[in-house]
Amino acid sequence: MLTLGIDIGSATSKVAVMRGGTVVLATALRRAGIGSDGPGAVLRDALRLAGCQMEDIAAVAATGYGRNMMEEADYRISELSCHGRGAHFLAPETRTLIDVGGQDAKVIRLDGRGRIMEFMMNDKCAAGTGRFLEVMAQVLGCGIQEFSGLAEGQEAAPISSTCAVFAETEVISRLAAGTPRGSIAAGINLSIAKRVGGLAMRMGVVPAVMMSGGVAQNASLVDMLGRELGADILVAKECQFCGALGAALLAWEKTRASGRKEP
Amino acid sequence: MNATSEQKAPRPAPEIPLSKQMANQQSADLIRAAKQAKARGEKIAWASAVFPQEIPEALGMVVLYPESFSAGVAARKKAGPFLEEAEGTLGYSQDICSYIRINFAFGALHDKEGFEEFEFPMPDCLLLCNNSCGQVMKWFENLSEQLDIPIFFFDAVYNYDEDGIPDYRMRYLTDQLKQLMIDLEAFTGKKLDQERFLDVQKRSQINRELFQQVVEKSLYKPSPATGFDLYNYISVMITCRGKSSTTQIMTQLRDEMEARHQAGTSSFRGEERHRTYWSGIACWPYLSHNMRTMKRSGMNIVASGYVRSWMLEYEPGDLASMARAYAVSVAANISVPEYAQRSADMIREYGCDNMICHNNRSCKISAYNLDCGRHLILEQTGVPCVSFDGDQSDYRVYSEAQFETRIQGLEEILEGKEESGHVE
Ligand code: SF4
Repeated sequence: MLTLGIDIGSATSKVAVMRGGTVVLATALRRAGIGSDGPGAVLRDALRLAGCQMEDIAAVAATGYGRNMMEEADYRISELSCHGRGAHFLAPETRTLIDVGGQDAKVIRLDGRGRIMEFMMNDKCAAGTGRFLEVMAQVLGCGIQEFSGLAEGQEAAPISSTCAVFAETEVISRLAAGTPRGSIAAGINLSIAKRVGGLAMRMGVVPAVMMSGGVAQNASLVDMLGRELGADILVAKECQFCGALGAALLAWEKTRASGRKEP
Repeated sequence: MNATSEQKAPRPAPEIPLSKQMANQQSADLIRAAKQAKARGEKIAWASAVFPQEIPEALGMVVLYPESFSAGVAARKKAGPFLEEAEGTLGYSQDICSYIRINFAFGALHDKEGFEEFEFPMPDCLLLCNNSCGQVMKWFENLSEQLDIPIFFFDAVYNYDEDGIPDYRMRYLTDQLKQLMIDLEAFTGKKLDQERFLDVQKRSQINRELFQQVVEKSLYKPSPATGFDLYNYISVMITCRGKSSTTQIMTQLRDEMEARHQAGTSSFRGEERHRTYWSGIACWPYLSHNMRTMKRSGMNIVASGYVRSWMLEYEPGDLASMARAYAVSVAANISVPEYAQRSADMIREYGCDNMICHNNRSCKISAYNLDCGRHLILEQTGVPCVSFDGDQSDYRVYSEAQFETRIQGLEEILEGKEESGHVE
């Protein structure tokens, strides 16, 4: 049975196609989220990569903030459950998952079967999210990929503000004062690590800890977060696909449980 | 037949329960009474939400409650121009409680064109009690200076240990009530009749008892009401808990709830699969969005600590017990362990299987209690819990999508528990 999970976020759209709830046939990502052509395009990409058509898919589960807009979806599941199940698939020992997405940061406690037991999310503001990082990268005049490299191994300049608006001013004045860009980037990472770390510690950190979402590709930030929490942090190479994989898995489980026939 | 008449007839508006009609009438009467009193040259007051109303009530002084007014403005989705005025022209920070911002702006706009619908006569004095928060003090100080009117203050003193209130503090609290009587007599030029004062105290206790009965109807499973319904009646307890009209409203409401239970109906329009404990003030501008979202997940609010803030229990005729009630009843004036204990007790008593916390940007004290007390509540009850960011009356501090995700996530946790047979 083929199932498909689509994770439509604020900044990106991701798809995973799976067979029998065990084999990943394809994953695809587009840097365009809700309200764009990203979801449609990424769906086509994934089907092409998996070598199948939409008719071959037994069930589709949509997750992420755009889940309710996905007409083809058989199931709409919160990104909390999907990320949890995806993390369990990638590393079954995961008990605490930290996901930093474009618009929010969440910490999820998982049981031994990858089901959520508890979660905490950041509040409405962008502090400690991918969006914050993007704004800061822009101020430093670099892309998000370059940003991580810039911060690597640098002494962190103090960035005290976690508010995107105030931090922008702070970064500009540091640049004007001649602080090296690498130190500023490290300082920005540290401010996010502290904010997300605080969220995790409020819930309590049970190992093993995994980090998912695009921000997990920022190695210097992961490192700082690990130090904040006093724990090793696993980062899977498919860290951006946790939600989509979880959705595909849950679509498979739910379809099997409902006894629906395969196409 | 033309196109319009072919369209489907509009659905009839849902019938407003008699108790709600009575409550609406009561608040209209209160505003009318305030206007008439002013016309007669009598002094009227604005009071903070949980002020010892028994004294002005016994003096026949009309008292209005600006927090209730701000909540009403927000619930009617009319807060925008007030918030803009407060933050723009008046220059107040967005960090200040939105009830207060709305009120400051009302002070500046109430006699301007376009604001006629907001009827809320201006005060001649302020009745202030700090049992709700510290911001109220600065708010009233500010009003007092701007309007050049006096404040009558009851210092409820924050409680670190509500069981062990020392004698000297009890004397301090009680003596303040005595002084309040003297000061308000002098200000209004009226004499406080002790018989009348005792009657108001008794009436307040009858009303508290009735409100308690109303709240306890939600012990039924399923509950005959949604918790949001009760939020709509809180203003009755805030503004008129010493009046006989409240006795009639609460009796009617209690009977309506019992009748619904007997008939197997409920104002919760879904299947009550989960019973929710709601912590914090309501998000007035988004009450219907909260309700719709929770209904989809079968979650009904059956208990809330906030509602209990106006259940002030004391012995009529015993001034010390009344003073004590005003010091320890409000969730904002008690220690975190006590706040957590009361919440945990309600969660167990009402058979709640989850807790939703409104992390209110305006109300720092309730956010503080939540942040510090949450783990104590969860340790005792083991129920899953989510919190969401919002504001009681600033509609800009809320995200529908975020609320929906949190509620769906909570539902999925509850479903997971059911599957594995872990439901308490
Ligand atoms: S901060 Fe909270 S307690 Fe204080 S006035 Fe505002 S809502 Fe009331």
